[in-house]
Amino acid sequence: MNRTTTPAAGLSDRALGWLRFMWDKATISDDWSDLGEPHPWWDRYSVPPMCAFPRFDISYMAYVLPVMLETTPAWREAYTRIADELIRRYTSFWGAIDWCTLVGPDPGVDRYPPEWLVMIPERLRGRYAIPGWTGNGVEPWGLQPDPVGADGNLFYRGWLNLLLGIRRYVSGDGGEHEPFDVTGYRNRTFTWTHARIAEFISAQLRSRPQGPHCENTKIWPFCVSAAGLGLKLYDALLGTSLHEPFPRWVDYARQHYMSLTRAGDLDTFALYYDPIEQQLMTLPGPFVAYGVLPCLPYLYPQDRRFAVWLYELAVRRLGWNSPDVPLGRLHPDAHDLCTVLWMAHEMGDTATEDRIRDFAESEYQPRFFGDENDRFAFWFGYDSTWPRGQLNATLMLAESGSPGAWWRVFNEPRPPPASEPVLRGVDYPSVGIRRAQNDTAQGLLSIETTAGTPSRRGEPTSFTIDQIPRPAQASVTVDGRGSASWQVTGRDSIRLDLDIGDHQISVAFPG
Amino acid sequence: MTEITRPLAGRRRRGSGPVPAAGLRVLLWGLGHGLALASRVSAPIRSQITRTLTVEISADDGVARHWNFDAHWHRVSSAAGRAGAPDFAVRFTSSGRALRALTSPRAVDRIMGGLSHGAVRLEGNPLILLWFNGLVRRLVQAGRADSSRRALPGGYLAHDPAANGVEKITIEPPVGELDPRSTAAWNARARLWIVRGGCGDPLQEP
Repeated sequence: MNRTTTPAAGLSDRALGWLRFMWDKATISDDWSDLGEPHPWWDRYSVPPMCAFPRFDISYMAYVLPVMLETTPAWREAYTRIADELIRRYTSFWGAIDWCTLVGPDPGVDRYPPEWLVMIPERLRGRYAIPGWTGNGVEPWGLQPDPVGADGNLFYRGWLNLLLGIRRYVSGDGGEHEPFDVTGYRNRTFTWTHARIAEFISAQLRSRPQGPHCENTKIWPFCVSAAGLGLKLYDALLGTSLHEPFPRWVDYARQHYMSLTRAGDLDTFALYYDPIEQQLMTLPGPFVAYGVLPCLPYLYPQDRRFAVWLYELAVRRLGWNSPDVPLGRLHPDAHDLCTVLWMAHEMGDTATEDRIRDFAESEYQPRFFGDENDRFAFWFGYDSTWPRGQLNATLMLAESGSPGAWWRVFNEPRPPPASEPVLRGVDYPSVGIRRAQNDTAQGLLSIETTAGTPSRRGEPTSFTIDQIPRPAQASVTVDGRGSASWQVTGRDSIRLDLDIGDHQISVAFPG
Repeated sequence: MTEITRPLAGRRRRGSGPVPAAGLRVLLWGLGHGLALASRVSAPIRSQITRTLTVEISADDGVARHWNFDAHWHRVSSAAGRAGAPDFAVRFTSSGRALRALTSPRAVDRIMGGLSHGAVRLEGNPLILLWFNGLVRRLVQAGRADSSRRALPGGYLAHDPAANGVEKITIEPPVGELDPRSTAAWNARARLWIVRGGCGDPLQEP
């Protein structure tokens, strides 16, 4: 089946297929307590050792939700449900398993495989904890049982804050002061709110010019950038100024965490900096760009000019922009290549995007799968039952939104349509929503449905449209023909009855 | 790859021929025996030999050497010629190119640049190249100042209660390991790749 296009006005079959699989992952009943284990489809395998935790799959998976929302701003239910399920897992034992179990010095510090050792400064190899070993409890920090309230572990609370912001964005709900529990060391629980986490991160960023630590004791530009982005979104949604310290950190990073050759090429870029060892870890040769690439999605919405400059430096250093060199010969890392494809798409670098997309199409095994062949993902050459979540979450951003969609989430956020029609009670995933957009000037709500579950095609379904002004004066067309299969159900709501399938629905409402 | 071998590159030529081939042979001999000897006496080098694997460097005109790393004894042995089935190999199209790349202070750049232009082929995980390069730098650049080691201003080196806004961080005495009573947490931790991979377990996802 040839289903690869990305219609400008609606979610593509691929995007809908990825959303369907995200729904599966989010809504399955698996046990993330210390007595259970996440379902194996949660990606705790990619980018070992530092990202091989299921929490990273959660974080990355959420990014596409606000991007998809741009195409269906009048329908938010599925995105909200997925975000809720992600947060529930993130705050569980397995969400913070690294901080809560990788305690004390790593007893295996002299047994790392060679490909992990290269992520440690040469002089420290064989006696220094690998990236990802959080080392909670070591001197001088002591045991800090709260995964959020800690001197280190920024990569936990920074991404949690971003995830909470995304949840708020896609749901349109408030709740920044609503308390929730986070599971910590020995299953102790700690109560936080979105607002307190954001203010805490901002305070740490303000008082620590190098940036807060992740593992004890490593500062990652990657993680500080993500933490900054969470603050950026918080400010965009709530009108605060918690992001204010971040530009100063960018200045610091430009001065101390990177350098150029005399020819203006990227020479060093910190994978991380350890202020106790006074050691900046940077990879040699073109591998230096691997320190830059993970930062780009987070920096781009915060400092577009800096991020574009870094992107160009990194892509040139890797040679991925050279049309004369086959990418396959360069042994590109899949996650980094996915990131560059997403960023090329986001920034409008069509030459690089086309080149990498061609490579991904031929090498990364895109396919529909599942009982009804309606889920979609890339397999990346892995002989695995389930597609790699972290890699797909990144690559699918280039499939699910138009250029600039990610930047707009943080800089031109769409407030919840308080006075525009919205869909409620859609029987997802039986019914898929390819598009749901209001044109308030024309007084028109446009909806495209599809059979989210193909075996349900043709069965009756219904959903409600709320916030319709003077609903008795509305008119509905389905597939270009006037429809009488709707009724007023409230003072500002109507209910549509239809069959599950591909339909173009227009609801005209008085302005 | 080494500064000590840079004089060997004095007669630089493109392509193959007896002179670059001899130069490369000598360079690889030095690196081979140097690493083998160092693995007997240098603790920092021994501590990095954590897996049993074979690395090969060769040129298409016939010059080749391979290194056998033995994780059990933390030792290296080396022999001229190609390995039967190396875990990682760098193959140059000629001895001249190999000599120029390996004697460059920016050897990794040279090799990866050659990769893009077809002058070099890598077989295996490219990160092994960085690991091998790190071992060689241990061998011949001991004591050289590391430009990445420096104290940057504004370091946060101990807990500061004033650095967290209105929040207070709960801090308990340092510990050396996960609480032994946390049986479930220990069991969960044992399933993490960062733990299993460090112990050499094969990492296969479901």
